[in-house]
Parts: sequence; structure tokens; C-alpha cells
Amino acid sequence: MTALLASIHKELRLLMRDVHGLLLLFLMPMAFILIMSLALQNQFAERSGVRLTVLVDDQSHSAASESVLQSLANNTAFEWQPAADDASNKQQLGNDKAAFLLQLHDGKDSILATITVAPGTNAQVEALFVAAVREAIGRERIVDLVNYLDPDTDPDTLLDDSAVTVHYHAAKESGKAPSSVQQSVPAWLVFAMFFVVVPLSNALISERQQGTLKRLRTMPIPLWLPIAGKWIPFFLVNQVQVVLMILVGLFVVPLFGGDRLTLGSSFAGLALMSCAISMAALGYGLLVAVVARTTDQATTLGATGNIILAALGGVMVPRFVMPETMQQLSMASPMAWGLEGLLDIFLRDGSMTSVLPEAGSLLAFGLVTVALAGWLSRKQRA
Amino acid sequence: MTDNAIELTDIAFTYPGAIRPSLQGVSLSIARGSCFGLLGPNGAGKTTLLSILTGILPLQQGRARIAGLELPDDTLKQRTAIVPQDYAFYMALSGRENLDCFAGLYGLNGAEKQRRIDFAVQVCALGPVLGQPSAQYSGGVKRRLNLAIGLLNQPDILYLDEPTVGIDAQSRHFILESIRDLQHSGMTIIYTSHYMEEVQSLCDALAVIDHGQLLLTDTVANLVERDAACTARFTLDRSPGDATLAALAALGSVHMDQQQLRMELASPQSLETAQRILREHGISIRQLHYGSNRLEDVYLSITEHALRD
Repeated sequence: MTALLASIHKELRLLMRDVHGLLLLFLMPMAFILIMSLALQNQFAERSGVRLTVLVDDQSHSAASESVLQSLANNTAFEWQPAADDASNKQQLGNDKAAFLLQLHDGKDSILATITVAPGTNAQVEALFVAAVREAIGRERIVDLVNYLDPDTDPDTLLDDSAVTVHYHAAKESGKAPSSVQQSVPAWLVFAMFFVVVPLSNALISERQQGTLKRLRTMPIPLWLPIAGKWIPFFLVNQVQVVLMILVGLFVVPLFGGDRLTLGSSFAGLALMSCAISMAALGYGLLVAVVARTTDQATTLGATGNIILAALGGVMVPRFVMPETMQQLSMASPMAWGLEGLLDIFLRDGSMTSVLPEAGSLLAFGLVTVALAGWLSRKQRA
Repeated sequence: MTDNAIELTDIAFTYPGAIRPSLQGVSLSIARGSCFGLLGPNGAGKTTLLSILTGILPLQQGRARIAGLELPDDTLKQRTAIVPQDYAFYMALSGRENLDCFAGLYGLNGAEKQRRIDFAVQVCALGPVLGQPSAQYSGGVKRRLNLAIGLLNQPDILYLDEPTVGIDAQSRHFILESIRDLQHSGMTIIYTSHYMEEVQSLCDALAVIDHGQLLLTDTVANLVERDAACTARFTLDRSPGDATLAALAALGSVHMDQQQLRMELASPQSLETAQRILREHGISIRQLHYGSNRLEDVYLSITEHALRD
């Protein structure tokens, strides 16, 4: 135990002095989470059902305008807020806090609408919103017309919404799409956790190149101890990453105007996923350390491998926007397993049981890579 | 109970996939408390032998009895240590942190750990630099830290693999003195080096290995005296002509290397005759060596002069 503690203590000391490694493991993913959460906020909001804000300026203050607004209020895709002064409206539109400014005023025969569109608003959303306003005003005109032609007829019988029935072809896989922070935190967290591959493999290769590993093999310690002495500190690093990235999602992103991360309710599930992702990353790191001969090779191999796994696994481009074939292909990446497991917890309120397939796959990946590294290492020594 | 620290019988080792063995038929005995030189050109098999003795490589063939224990025996690692040629420690850590780490890896803690660290620091005179990052050390201090780490488990047998490579004369002198002190304290030292004058001044006995085979093992005293009375080495002011060489050849074998003349003479009288022949041919003798050999000459004559790949 003394020897293992000495090895862990040494590794933690080395880690604390590796400024570049610490920046890579902590600062890079925190920056990614913050930037991507804020940059993609609107794009994700449209998919995740988050309501877009519409500033309403009712200059008519008539029964007709109130009726139009009442009709629009039934549309749950939008959040209707009374407009303030011009300067405030411009500011909210300018920084995309609001998607539209809707101004209603009296026309010759009926209510007229003027719509101002915020710069970041999607063109499809714009078309749908304009159609919704047209439909609300048209509905008001029909009511007027029916009242004029036949006062005994209830116009609502003519405007029955049951004329249209919506069917879903299939239940959505996840039931719910993530917001930008819900996607960014787990995605870049998984990416960051896998980046321990670089410092871990570099540490192992440096020991091999400097002859320290040879010296360790002449000492009265078991063969696994130098590996465990690295595995445990990097496992701890991974757990610290989890805590820090979640804190960024909970407190830092909202400070900059982004959404707040929701954590779900299964701490045990989160802990299981965190351990499983770490095991997979460390196993991969061990394999890279055995395959690469120099630290330069390990850095290139580890970093490039991570970027490919991330691109494939839905870290850089969310899986739900990928075509069906790519979505299936993406499940070849262990990062996709990690990401889906975390999304199960954060987004779908999953439990420990519901993430068992992902956690199991990651642990199996870790075991396979460790076994492969052991086999290759023996082959190289022979 | 034998007085030998190491007894090797018919040791052989072939790396998997290799055509030729790296070691074959190596048998030798090393006395307890001695300083034993292990010599050989690059690629001769010294490192392979050290790797077997220190447990890095398995014993494939033969018998090895070290410190009274038969290989393979993991408990042996408690009683031996190696100081590798590489700086086998952590450059980002200070000397103190390195010693603390390796002492911990030996399972030491508390007062005993501190006592061992203090001893190693004292032997290697590391006190003033102990807190500095070892990456900032000079080559000599790095060598001393490398040695200090090897002393932490107070080994009965210490393997030193070229411990003075690439350092200045002062550091080399200090390390050699430290090794002498360690030997006098009863430690058995196995010393590999390409510096023959170091081996000659430090070691009691040595073995020469080449092409994986043990070519010779003897005491240093015996080796330098062997055939010494018959060998004369002249340093001349110019290379002698063919006629001079022919006249000298009548006295014994003649080897010329630029202005260095080496002769195997039949008797001390022949030495006077050789000097006379040189004078008669107008060649001045700048330096004459007759008597005990230099270890380097013995070594080169055993391993041959040809360059190695």
C-alpha cells in the first residue's frame, strides 16, 4: 500500500506541474461548453421545444386585436411578452433575446400586423410565425364575416380545430431533444474525459524512454503497480472534470445568458456513467501508450483519434441532426455511448438501470483495450 | 555458505525472434564485498546479463545464485539495486521528491524512510540541491541523484551501469570515491564502464564479454601483469622504414600503429638490442613503456581492435 500511495502521490505531483496538460483537461472543455452552449442556443431551442419569445405591441387596444392575440396565445411554440419602449425592443431583437416584434394596429376594415424579425431567427420559424399571425387575423375576419352574414350561426363551429388530426409516425427515440447546454455539457465532458489519453500515454512513454520503467521493474513492486499508480490519479482527474463541467453548466452558462443545465434525478446513474467513461478512456490511453513509440506519436495518435471519435460520436455534431445512416454509424464510437448515457440521465431522467447498456459497453471497451495493450506490450518485450 | 555474492553457471539467453543468442555459456563467480568490472564492447551482452541478474529479463537457461538466493526469486529485488545508465528518475520533481517517491516504492515510511534518504543524500552530497527541480541539475548532479536512488534500499549488491558517462572530472572523481566507500562498507559492486582506467583503479576483478560469450575472468592485478615482462611499447619521433622493422622482427613480433611500436620480446636483453637498432636507423625514442600492461591494452587484445557495429 505504501508503494501504491507513493506512486499515486508522485503522479499527482507530476500532473500538477504539467500546466499544458491541465489546460487541455480542464480549461479547453470548459471553454467549449460555454462557447457552444451560447452559440447554438437558438438552434437547439427550436428543436428542443423551448418557446421563442415574441414582443407584442398592441397599438389598437380593440376587441379585435385582443381576439387576435387570444388566438395567437393558443400557439404554445411562442412566449408572448408585452413590448416595452423602442430602445428596449431593438436591444432584445438585436441580441436575439426575442425572435419577433409583433405590432398590431387598426386597418381600414380589420386589424393589421407588422412583424419585425430578429437577426438570428431561422427562416423556417419566420415563415411559420407569419403564417400563424395571418391565420389569427384571417380567423378574426371570418368571425366578423359570419356574424355579419348570419348572426345566428356560432362561428366556432366553422373554425373547428378537429378538422386536423396529427399522427406521429413513430415515437421519438429519446422523446426529447436537448437544449444547447444539455447537449454541450455531456458532449464536451465526454470529449474532455477521453483527452486523458494524451497525458496518460505521454507519462507512460516518458517513463519508458527515460529508463525509469526499467528501474521500476528491478524494484520489489508488482508489475501492475506502476500502471495503477497512473490509472488512479487520472481516474480522479476524470471525476474532477465531471464535477467542474457540471458546475459550468449549472452556474457559468446561465451567467452569460444561456440555459441552466438540468441534471436529472439519478446520482447513481451519473456516477456509474462517469466511472464507465473514465475506464474506457484510460484503457484507450494505455493502448495508445503501447502502440506509440514516442510522446509525439502518442500525442498525435491520441488527439487525432479523440477528434475522430468525437466527430463520429455526436460530440461536435449532435446525433439527432445526422442522417439515419450516420446515426447508426456513430454508435461505433465509445464517445457516443458515453454521450447517450449522460443524455439519458440529464435529459430523459434516466436511472442507473436505464444507462446499464451504455455503461456496460464502455466498461467492455475499457477491458478490451487494456487486454489488447497487455498483449501488445508482452509481444513487444519478447 | 559461500563467499560469493554471485555465482552464474552456463547462463544463456536468446531474445525471441533473434537468430543468435545474446548470451551463451556464461559462468562466473563474484566475491562478496568485491568491486567487479563487467567489460565488453557495445552489444556484447553486458546489458542482457545485467537485465537477467536484476529480474528485468527471465532466466532462460543456466543457474544464477545471487546473495544466496536462486533465480528467479522476487525477494531478491529487496537486496539488490541498479543504477542505470539513463537518468532514471522524474525530471519534473526535485531531488527530495524523487528520493521520497522511490523510497516509498521500496515500501519505506516514517523514520526509517527518512534515515535511508539522509544516508543517500549524504553519500552523494545532494544536500544543497535537494529542493531544486532535477531537470535543472548539471549532468554530474543528475548522476549523483541516480546513484542516491540506487542506495535507498541499502542493497547487498549494487549494479552500476556506466555511472560516470558524460560528466566532468570532479563529478567522476566524487562518484568513484563514493563507490569505493560503499565497497568498503561491505557492498558488492558490479561495475560496467568503457573507461578502462576507472575499472583498473576501482575493480578487484573483472570479466570480459563479447558476442555473448565470456572471454575471460580474472583479477585486475593478474591481467595487467600477464605477459607484461615481454611487452615493450615505444613512442617514436617518426614511423620506421621497412628495413628497421625487418631488423626489429628478428627480436620478436612487431606491431606498428602510426608512431606507436609494440613488441613482444623474448627477453629483457632484447629490449636493449631494439633500442640500439632504432638509434642506428636514426629514430629517436620519445617514450618507452616496459613492465605492467594498461588494462585498455589487455582489453583490446582480448576483444580485438576491429570497430563494432
